[in-house]
Amino acid sequence: MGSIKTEMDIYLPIAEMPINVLWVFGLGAVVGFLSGLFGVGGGFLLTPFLTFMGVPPTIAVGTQSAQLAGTGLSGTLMHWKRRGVDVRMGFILTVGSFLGTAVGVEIFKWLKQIGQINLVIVLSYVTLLSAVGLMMFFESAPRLIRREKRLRAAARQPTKEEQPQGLTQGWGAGGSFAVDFHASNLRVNVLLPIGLGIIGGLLVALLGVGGGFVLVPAMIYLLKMPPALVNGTSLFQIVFTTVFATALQAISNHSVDIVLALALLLGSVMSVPMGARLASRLRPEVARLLMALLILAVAGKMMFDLFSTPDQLFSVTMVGLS
Amino acid sequence: MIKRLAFFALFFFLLTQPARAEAEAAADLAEDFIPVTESFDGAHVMVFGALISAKSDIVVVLEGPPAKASIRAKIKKFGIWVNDEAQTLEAIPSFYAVLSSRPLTKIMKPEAMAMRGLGFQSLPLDSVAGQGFLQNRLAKGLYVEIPDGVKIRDKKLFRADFDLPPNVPIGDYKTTIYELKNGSVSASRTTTFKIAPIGTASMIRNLSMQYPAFYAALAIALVLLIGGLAAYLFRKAT
Repeated sequence: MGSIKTEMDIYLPIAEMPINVLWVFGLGAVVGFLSGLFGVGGGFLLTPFLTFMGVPPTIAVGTQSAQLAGTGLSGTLMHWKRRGVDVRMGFILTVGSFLGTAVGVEIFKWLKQIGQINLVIVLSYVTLLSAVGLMMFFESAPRLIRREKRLRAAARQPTKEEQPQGLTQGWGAGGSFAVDFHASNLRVNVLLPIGLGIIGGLLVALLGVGGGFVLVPAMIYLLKMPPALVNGTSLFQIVFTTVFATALQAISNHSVDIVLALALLLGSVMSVPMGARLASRLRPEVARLLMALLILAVAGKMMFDLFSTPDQLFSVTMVGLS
Repeated sequence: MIKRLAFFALFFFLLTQPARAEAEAAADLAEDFIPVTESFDGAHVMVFGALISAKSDIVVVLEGPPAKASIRAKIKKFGIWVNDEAQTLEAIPSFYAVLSSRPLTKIMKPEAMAMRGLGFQSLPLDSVAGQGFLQNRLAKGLYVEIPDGVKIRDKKLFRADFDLPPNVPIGDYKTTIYELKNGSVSASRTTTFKIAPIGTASMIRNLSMQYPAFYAALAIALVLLIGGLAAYLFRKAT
């Protein structure tokens, strides 16, 4: 567990331990690629891997928010260049997500008093992930097969997405809270994106991770945003929430290790373009199928962890050192 | 008059001395400061000294700065492994190494160890959480017992070499050297050493602890700058 000494170690001043730079770059690169490809943060990978390498969990969580702010901005700017960001939608999701985080912290306290909190959170998250993953899989896979057949017939019909005629009418488009999102070519009740933001924020407050896995599919299926705008808008929203989280973590917990954050970031910014490039070349249903498989893999891993006996039955955090 | 004053001074001095019938062990540390730099990957500690009487045994205890430990156990509920509520231990050593010239149980009676507060058994780790803490620290190499960690040469000199692991906590360390004869302590000495970051590592640490708001702003500015710069440099890649 991170105890193999090599020349490539750097000392992390906040985590109080040396870590192998190459491993951290590599981890950053994988997470950056996923950010570029799917518009998710990658906390589901970072937290367990950093913990495995010996970084205390609180510092892993605090540090990855700083790394994600940098990666998120890098990705946002790349998507921006090819008009892949819906700024209005991004802001509304951000507002919802801040509300969700604030409410989530209170819910967390309340559930803690009742007890059983961890069981409730873990079970609901695994259920949610499995449901979202399965839904995406069964939506995208048949579409892909049908499309292959259609292509073979060499009669490619222009789809609705490619030929926009006026604003797509989303949920509640006729009601009094309807808002136009011109970038997304969409009219929808503003309460829907706010609500989705709240759910994303709640997840982050309760689990520390997992906002992207719920937000991205929701943007595709519930908001019916054009696929080309989903990643950029998700990353845009991530920049705001992670900047806020970094400030909070650094000020109240002293849990942001800037050396670790920069090492991760250098790895991830180099692979964000590769992910974003692949995302722009993949057909939307292929991207959705890949994301469905990733979500199902994460849900499967979590399920496995729930039932298999852990190696370490106890985890220890030292508080108030030095 | 002066004689009488001197007598009283000596008498007073003897009164205020701790009522221990033991001598001070003749021992010292090779280093009293261990710097932590960017390339820190553990450090070597050497304790050496002379035996006051032959046929003695030596026990060296290295104790890290005390801290509050928060311990979480994984428990099985309805067939599912979940984290239990956190238990805390107050002021528990963050690091604890016991080096001895022979296995501890052969050198010292358990009662004597308990009285001295020496060894894992003397720490308040009786609870389930305490045992979990010990198990976890042993696995991480932060609690160590080395029964042949002290080498005695010619029944006169001793030397204890110990490699602090790379993940050793930063702070003030206490080293206590015990000389034992017939199962009880005949001499002891406590010295201290410090493990502290220097250079960049120290600067970053101090900044994060003393000016957290500034540190946060700096960290955010830095990551956003790098993120923005990368997007500019790789602008042709997408």
